Amino acid sequence: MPDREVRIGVYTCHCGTNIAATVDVRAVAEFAAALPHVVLSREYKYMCSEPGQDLIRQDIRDHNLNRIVVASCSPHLHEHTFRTALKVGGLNPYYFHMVNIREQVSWVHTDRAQATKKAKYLVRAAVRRVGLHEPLERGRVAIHPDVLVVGGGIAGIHAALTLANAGKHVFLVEKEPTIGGHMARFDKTFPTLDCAACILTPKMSAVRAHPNITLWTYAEVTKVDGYVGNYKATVLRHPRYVDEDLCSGCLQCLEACVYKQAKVPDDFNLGLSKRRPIYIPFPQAVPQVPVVDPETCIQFKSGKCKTTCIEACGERHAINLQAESKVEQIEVGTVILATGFQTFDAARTPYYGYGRYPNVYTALEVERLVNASGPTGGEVVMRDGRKPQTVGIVHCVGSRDENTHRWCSRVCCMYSLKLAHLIKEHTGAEIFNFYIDIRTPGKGFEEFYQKLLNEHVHFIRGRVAEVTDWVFDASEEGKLVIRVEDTLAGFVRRIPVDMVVLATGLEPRADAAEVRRLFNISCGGEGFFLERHPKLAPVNTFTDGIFLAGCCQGPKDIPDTVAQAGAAAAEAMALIDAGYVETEPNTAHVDEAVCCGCKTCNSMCPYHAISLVEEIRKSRVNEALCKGCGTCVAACPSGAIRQNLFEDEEIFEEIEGILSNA
Amino acid sequence: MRAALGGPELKVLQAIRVRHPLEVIYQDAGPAAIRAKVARKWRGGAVACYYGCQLVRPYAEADRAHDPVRMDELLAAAGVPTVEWPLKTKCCGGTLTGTIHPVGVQLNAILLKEAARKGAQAIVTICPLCQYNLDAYQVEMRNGSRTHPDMPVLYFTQILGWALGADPDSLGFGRAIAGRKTIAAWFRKERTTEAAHA
Amino acid sequence: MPEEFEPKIVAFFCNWCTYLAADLAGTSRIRYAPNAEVVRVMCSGRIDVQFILKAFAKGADGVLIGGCHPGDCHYQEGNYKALRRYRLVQRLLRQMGIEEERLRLEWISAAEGDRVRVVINEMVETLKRLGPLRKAEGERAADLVEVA
Repeated sequence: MPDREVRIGVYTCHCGTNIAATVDVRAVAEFAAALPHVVLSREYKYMCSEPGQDLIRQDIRDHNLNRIVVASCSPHLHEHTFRTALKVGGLNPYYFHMVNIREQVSWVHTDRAQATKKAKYLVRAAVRRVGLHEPLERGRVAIHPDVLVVGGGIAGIHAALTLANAGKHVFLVEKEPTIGGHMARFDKTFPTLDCAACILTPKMSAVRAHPNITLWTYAEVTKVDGYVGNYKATVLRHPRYVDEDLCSGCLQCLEACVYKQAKVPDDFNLGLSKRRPIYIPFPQAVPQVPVVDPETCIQFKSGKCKTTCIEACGERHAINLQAESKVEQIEVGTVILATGFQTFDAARTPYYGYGRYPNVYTALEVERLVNASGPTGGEVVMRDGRKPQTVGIVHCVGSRDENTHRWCSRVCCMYSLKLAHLIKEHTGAEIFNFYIDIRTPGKGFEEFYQKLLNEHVHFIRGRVAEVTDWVFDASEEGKLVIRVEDTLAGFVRRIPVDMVVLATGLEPRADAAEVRRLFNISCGGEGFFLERHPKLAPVNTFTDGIFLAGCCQGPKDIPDTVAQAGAAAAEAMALIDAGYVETEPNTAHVDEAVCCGCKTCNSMCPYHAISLVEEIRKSRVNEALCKGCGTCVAACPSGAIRQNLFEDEEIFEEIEGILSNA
Repeated sequence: MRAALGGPELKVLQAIRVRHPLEVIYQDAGPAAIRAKVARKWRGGAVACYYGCQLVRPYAEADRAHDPVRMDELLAAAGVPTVEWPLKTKCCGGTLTGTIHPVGVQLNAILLKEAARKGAQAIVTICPLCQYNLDAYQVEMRNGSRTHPDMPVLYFTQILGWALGADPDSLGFGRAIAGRKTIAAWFRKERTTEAAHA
Repeated sequence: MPEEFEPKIVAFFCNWCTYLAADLAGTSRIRYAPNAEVVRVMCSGRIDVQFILKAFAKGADGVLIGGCHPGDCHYQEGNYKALRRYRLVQRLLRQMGIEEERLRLEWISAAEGDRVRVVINEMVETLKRLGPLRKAEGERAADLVEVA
C-alpha cells in the first residue's frame, strides 16, 4: 500500500483436529508472527465459528488491522464467511486472503514436518500477497424473475408448480411429447403402493392449467447465453403436426388412422406393444394432444395417404401436416435442470440372457405389464403367452459392479420388493429375490420388506452368475435356470423359473455431457451433474443461478426427488426475491495510459466484454460482461490490462512467498 | 520369465506375440475370404461350436467373453449350419479327466448332452484338449446305454479344410474315436470327385 | 547429497476444475507428496508466461499448470490460450537449457481427485531424478555423461 502502513492479522485454524492432527498449528502461527507487516498472529480451534469470526472483528478494531489472512479450509467453503467478517469489522472485504491448509495440506499429507513446512510457506505467500490488495466493491446485477425448468418429470413438475404458486413465471421445457417422465410408466409406488398415475396426473393437470407456467413439450433447449440473473435461452419446439390450441383432445384421429393394426413399436410401453404413426404416448398425457411421427406416417413418406385423420378431425382443423419447428428465445434469471436418468441397458450384461431368452424382462418392462393401462391390460403374461408360475428377480443389474457401474442405484431393492408383491398379487407365482444386500432406508421401507417376508417371497443372498436355458434334468425342462451361490447356505444353487426380472440400475442420460456443456456446469466422475457440495449444497452447481433437481444429480427415489425439487425452487426463489445478486469484483480493467490500442485483448474475450473505444483508440472492458477469467490480462503485450484481485504483482508475491528461503 | 529361465545363459531376446489359429484365420483372412474359396457343399448336419475357456478367459481379446461367435461365423461362411446353445464356454474339465476322472467325464457328458438337445450332430472345437476330452470318453459315458449320443468331435480346421477342398486324407478324420459312422457318412471320399467336377 | 533432495513445485491451478479436484482429493483423504504448493487463479488462461519464468528464477524445480479439459473451460476457451502459452514457454525453456520435464501442463477436471495425486507424485519422481534446477544449469554436456 503506497501511503498507509500495512498491518496484517494472521489466523491459523485448528479445525478441531482436522488440521491440527497433521500440521503444527502453533508453529505456523509463530512463523507467521515473525513475517514482515504481521502485527498479530493467532491460532484458534474453529475460525469459521461465531467466536472465531468475532476474533477477527474485534482485532481489526483493537489492533487497527488493515489486512487479514486466514489459514484454514478451502476458500470454496469459507472465503465468503470471512469476507463478511471483515465487512462487519469495518474493513473492505477484499483486504482478505485465505490459505487452504486443510483440503490441500492436512488431509493429503502424512509427514507432520513436511506438512507444517508447506503450510508455513503458503501462509508466507498469502502474507506477501495480501499487502498488495486494494479495496474493491461488488457490483449488483438484477435478477430476471422468470425461471426455466428443463425436464418435465416429477422433479421438474414439482419445481415448476412450487415456483408458479409463489407467483413466478416458469418456462417448463420437456423433450418428450408429454410431461410425466419415468414416473408415468410406473404402476404403484413404494412403500405405500399408491397408484403412480393417480398421484402424478393431478400435478400434471395443475401444470397445464397454471397461468404462471408456459409448458413447451416436444421441445429442447439448444443454446444458453448469459450469466446468473440474465440467461438467454433458445428453445427449439419440434412440430407435432397437431395444433395444441385447436385440438380438443377427442382422440378420434387415432381411431381413424388408415393403419387398422398398429405397427410401430410403442416407446412408452418399451416396445411391448405397438402404436400407429399418429399417437398419444399414454391416455393421461399432458398436453392431451396427439403427435404425428413423420418417420412412419404414410403421408410423410409417400404423400399418398387418404389422411382419414384429418377427416376425422373435421371442423376443428387441428391437424396440420405442414407444420414447422419453431424457435423461441426466452430470458430468465435462473435455471433448474431436472432432466432425469435412463435405465441401465441390460444388453450390457449378456450373461443374464436379456434379448436372448424372450422371458427375461427388465423391471421397467414389468412395470408396464402389471399396469392396467399397459400392453397386456395388467395381466402378467410373458412374451410366449404363458403366465409365470415361478419368477426370479435379479438385483443389482448394472449396479455395485466394477464391470458396469460401481454405484448403488438406491431404488432397485425397493422396487424389486414392490414388483415381487405386485406379481404375486396378479399371478400367485412363487417368487425369488436374489440380492447382495436389502437396502430399505426410507420411511416405511423396512416395514415393507417385512410385509414381503410375510407374503412368503423367497430371498436368496447371492449375486446371480447367469441365467441359462441349459437344463440338468426333466424338472428344469422349458424353464430358465438361475445359477447363483447361496452365500448364507454355502453352496451353489440352480433355481428354475418361468420368468426372470432384471432389477436394472439408474445411470446418467446419454446426452448428459452435452446438456451440461450447454449450461456450463460440470458432471461428476460417474456422469451425473455435479452439485456444489454433496452435503451442504446438493441442489446448487458451481455456476450461479443453475440448480439441479432429481435423478440428473444422482439416483434417488420419488420422495427425495420431490424434496430436492422443492429445494431447487427455494434456491431460485431466494435469488429472485432478493432481486439482485452481487457480482465478484475480480474483473479486468484497462489502464488507458499504457494501452496502445493493439486490440489483442478484444478477440481473446469469449464474452465480447472488451472493445476498442474509437475516439481514444484504447480498449475498454465492460465490467457487467466480464467474468474475471484473466485470459486477456495474460495476453496483453503492454501489460495494460489488469485484473482485480489477481494482479501480476500479487501473483509474483505469492510465488516468491512460496519459494524464498527467508 | 527371466527368473524362471535361471542363469544368464538363457535369455528372452524379444517379446513374442502369441496368437490362436482362430484369431489368425478370423482376423487375417476373415469369413469373406472363406466364403470366396469354398470348394465343397456341406452335406453334413448341424454342429455346435464349442470354444472352451482359454480363448476368452481371463482376457476376452480374441472374441466376446460371454457368447463368442467367431468360430460360428467362419463355419457359417463355409456353409456349415451351427446351433445356438448356452454352453459354448463351459469348462470341459481340462486335465481333470486324467486326475479326478469321474468329475472330468461328467463335465464332458453335460456338454455332449446339451449339444444334442439343441439339435447338433457334431461338436467342433478350437482346443485340442477339449477335442480329446469330448471325444475319448463317450463309450464310458454310454456305459452300455443307448441314450447317450455317439457324437463326432472335430477340430475347426478339419471342417474348414474339408470345405475349402483339401484332400480328406490330410484332414485326420481317421483319428476320431467317437462318431466314426457319422464322420464316414459326412466326409465320404467320392464326394470330393463329385464336387471337383461339379 | 547428504539429505534426500525434495523438489519444490509451484502449481498454478484453475479455480473451477483443478483446484476443486485438489479439494476433492482432500475430502477423499487421498495422500500425495507434499512438494507442490498451489497458486490459485480463476482460469488457466490467466497464467502469464512471466509467472512460469519467475517461478523458475526464484528457485522452483518444477512448475505445474492445471486447467479444465479442452472444451470444458468454465470461461469457454481460456484453457486453449493456456495451451498456446505453454508451447511457447516450452521452446523458451529449451533454449535456456532447462529440461522440458520441469514444466508440465495437465487437464484435470473437478471430479478427478485421484489424478491430482498421480500427476504430483509422478512429477516429484521425475524431478528427483533430474535434480535441483540450479545444479543442472551451467554444467557442460560432457561432464554430465561422466558423472552418470
